[in-house]
Amino acid sequence: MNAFASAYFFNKQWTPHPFQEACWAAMAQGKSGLLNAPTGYGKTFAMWFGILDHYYRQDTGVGRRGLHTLWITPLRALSKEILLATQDVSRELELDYRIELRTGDTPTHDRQRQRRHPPQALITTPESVHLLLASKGYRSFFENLAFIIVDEWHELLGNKRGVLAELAIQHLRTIQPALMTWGISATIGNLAEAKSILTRDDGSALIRADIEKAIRLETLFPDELDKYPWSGHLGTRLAAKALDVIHANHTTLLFTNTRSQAEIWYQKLLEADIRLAGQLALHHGSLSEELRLWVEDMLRQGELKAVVCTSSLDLGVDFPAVDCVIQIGSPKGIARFLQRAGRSGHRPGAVSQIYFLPTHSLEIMEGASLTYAIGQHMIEERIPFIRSFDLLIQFMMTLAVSDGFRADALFDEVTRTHCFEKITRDEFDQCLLLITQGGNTLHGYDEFHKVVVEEGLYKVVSRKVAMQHRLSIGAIVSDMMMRVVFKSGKYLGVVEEWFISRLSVGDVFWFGGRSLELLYIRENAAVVKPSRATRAAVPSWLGGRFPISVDYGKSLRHVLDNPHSAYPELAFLRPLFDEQQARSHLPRENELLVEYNQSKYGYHLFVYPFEGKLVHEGMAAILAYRIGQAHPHSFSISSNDYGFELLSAEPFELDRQQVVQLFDPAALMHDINHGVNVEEMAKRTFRDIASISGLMFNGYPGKRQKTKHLQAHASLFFKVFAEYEPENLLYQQAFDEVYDLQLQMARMHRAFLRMQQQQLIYMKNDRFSPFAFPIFTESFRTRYSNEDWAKQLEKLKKELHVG
Amino acid sequence: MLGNALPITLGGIAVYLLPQRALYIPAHQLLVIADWHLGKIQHFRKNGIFIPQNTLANELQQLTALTAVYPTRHVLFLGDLFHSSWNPEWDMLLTYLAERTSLTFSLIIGNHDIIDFERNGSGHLALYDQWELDNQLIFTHQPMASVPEGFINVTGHVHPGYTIRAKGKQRYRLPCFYRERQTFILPAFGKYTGLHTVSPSEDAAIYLILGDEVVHHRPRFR
Repeated sequence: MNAFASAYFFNKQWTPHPFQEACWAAMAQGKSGLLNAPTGYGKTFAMWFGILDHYYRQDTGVGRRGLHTLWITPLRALSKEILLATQDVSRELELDYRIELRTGDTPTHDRQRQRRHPPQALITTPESVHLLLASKGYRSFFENLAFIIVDEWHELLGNKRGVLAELAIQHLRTIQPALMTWGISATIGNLAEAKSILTRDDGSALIRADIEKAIRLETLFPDELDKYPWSGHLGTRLAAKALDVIHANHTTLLFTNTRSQAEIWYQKLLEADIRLAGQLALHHGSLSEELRLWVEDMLRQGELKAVVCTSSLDLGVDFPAVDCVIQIGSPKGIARFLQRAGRSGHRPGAVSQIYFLPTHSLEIMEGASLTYAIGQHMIEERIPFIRSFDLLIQFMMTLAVSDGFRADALFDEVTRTHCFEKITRDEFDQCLLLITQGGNTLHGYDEFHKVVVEEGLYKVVSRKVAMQHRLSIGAIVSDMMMRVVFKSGKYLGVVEEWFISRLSVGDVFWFGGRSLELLYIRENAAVVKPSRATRAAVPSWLGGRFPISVDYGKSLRHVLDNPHSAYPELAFLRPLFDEQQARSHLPRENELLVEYNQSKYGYHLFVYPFEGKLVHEGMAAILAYRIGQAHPHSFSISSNDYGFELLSAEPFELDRQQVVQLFDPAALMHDINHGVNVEEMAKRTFRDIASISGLMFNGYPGKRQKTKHLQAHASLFFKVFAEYEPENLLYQQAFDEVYDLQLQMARMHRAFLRMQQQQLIYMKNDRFSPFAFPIFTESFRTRYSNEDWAKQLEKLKKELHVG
Repeated sequence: MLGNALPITLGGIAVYLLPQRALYIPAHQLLVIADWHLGKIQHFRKNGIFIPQNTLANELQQLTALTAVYPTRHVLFLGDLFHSSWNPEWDMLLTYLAERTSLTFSLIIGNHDIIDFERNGSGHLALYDQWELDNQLIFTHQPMASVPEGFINVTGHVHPGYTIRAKGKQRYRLPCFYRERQTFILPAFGKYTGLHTVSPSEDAAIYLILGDEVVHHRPRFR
């Protein structure tokens, strides 16, 4: 039994959950582990009393000196809540266990004080831990560290920030081998793997809270069914339905997938019901932190009727007043939907109420597939990154700017992480060569300056290099952003530079829920004033292009197979399905539908694998290549999560046997590589890699001009690598990331195997079918050609000479 | 004789737009080259950016090839010739220029020409802030805010590119020569440079570089 927990729980008149007691027991045995528990059920205390128990069992004196616990969260908003909860324990029990925050916002003098007089616990982010490792003499700071807790580990696991955490934790283990590592994770499909990656210890504990939250899901239907849906079309027409929901509940969160969608919905809801003025707020990642904190504060106090938000409110602190959630558009993943649903009815035992509001008619069926997936306990896996050489190079630099590192020891250390488990010594040495000599050098006159080796110790001597590196630590690369400010200097938020560059002075745009007129651009700020105009441009922040998950696609194909089942969504869609059947064909689960038709735009081939947008883009490229084997063609490609389209200016009529051959799972890798677009995609991916590995320096804050002559477009670097050093690890990583993340080759391969088993239904139609129409009207298109560049230019010339 | 070069007139002067991204004026045997950005990769490397080295010889070969096809007495660089403070490639460049005894070379200093000419020398390069020809053309690195009456301003700096839409919803982004009223902008000659997409006004003309050909393109306006 945990004495601290007993006292605290007694005071609060609480009883501990079994999972909390299990954690305390495991920690008392010196174990590491993973706790799987939902928010709102005391997961923080499940860790915290284990930590306190350990601390006060040590001898006074030596043991109780210096930093004892590092608590890592993915989100700064969460760190505040944990700080308050844990500080309350110290106060109530009159303990001298001190807890402090350390994030990007911590002022310099606080950081210096923390170095001199470390608190017992620091609540921080993965980036801030790396910054600590980049400061001189960090080893003594961590020498008494006993615990690392990684909160919301599932959030970090599937992205490069997870690799940051892996590297930092493994390095801290070299300072303190007895370190206990604990993760806290929501339910994901690969919990055991998540535990193993974090703890690197087969004997570590996996503790499940086994608390199931009740969810009530309802789809909001339009009054009439549109049989030729196009994306986004339905959306705001359902504003009235959303308003009914908002008024029937105390506080509602409306989740959208993109920031521009959030802006538009905020505006439409206000237009539709002026009574909401002052009670409706907007929350997304581009708004200033001040504004976001204000909204969160008002939510906590229950002062708001509704908030339109993006994934910015997926995580974070609890808002007891929220009793209802509306998901606008496809949530694209079952876990994401559950997470959002869980934002309502946060009290133990309460029901989470969520409405699904489709943005085009075909999307209505996702209400049914979600119900099915939740009933079947389907949940996605989080796939960890491996072989992220950009982060390895960044990490080498981090250690080089502080106390330096030795190659053999670091190789041994990083190959203990999951991410770099399989790298070879040769690959590791190539990374070393990049930071010491800038790769393989050709000319004697080269002067490369970064890391020097002195008696086997790799270190940075240049203060400038060290400074630039500290400013570049992290795994998130954002677009070039421009600050949006009033003339008074009041900061409103940030918006992509390219959006502002398309506006002229005097133009009006929507931002943060108000219409703003652009006055002028000064340095890195767009200076604006409020405008009365009601029609304005909405910045279309990039992003929101993530595809539906594997499991989501599976459940969609399943409900489509049972169009007569009891789901109200399917009953409502009956006329659309009938139209699809009459015009073309309604595919069953064991059928693959392919449609060909002509229009004034050219010749279209539509395919419906329901595998998500990214896989569809890759499949489309493979099909284009295969079609082009017989006759060279240029295609423009459009796709959504349900299917894709190849559009050509010239006819490419295929017979049934030819279409069957298009879906042959053999030689996928070959056909992708012989398509032109892999390099094009890699070029885009390379931007992040270049930035993370330190190839691109984005400038000193507030002093951008000074480094302008060192800035270059990532595509330039890519071109140079392609020409002079295609075997470079970073260049290769761009291709690997394209295969793994963008083309999702593993998923695509499984999809081709599945499609080969399915019966092919090949329809030649005289016009677009209801399934085809939303794909055709997608505004974002990619280009694909298996004609050579010269041939394409010839054609273009002809067109231009005629036109 | 001039291959796929496109003849046009600027002011009253006959010029050729070369698909190699340069401008040629036969009457003066003058070759005009903008924004070569030599030395850039060495400059990056010196500052700890580990991109692979290229070879200056390959770059210089491009100019040798051009002057072999187009009879040239004078080569005018419209700025951003050398994108770096001094590095050894500057001396190699000066040696190359000195060996081309039949040619004269001029440089209009661009914003990336940050080298200290006083200290590091400029060899056979005559340096200018701007340069005039026949009272008709005025050459600068950056477009002039106002071009004197009766002149055409031939300039670089912008690295103009244009996105063209073709049938089947295809899009191509290509380098171009760009003309708007009294301003005529050359594409960047350097291989390792970006493109700035221009949005032409109604009285603009665009000369697209389509592989080995230059094509006059008239954008349609809605």
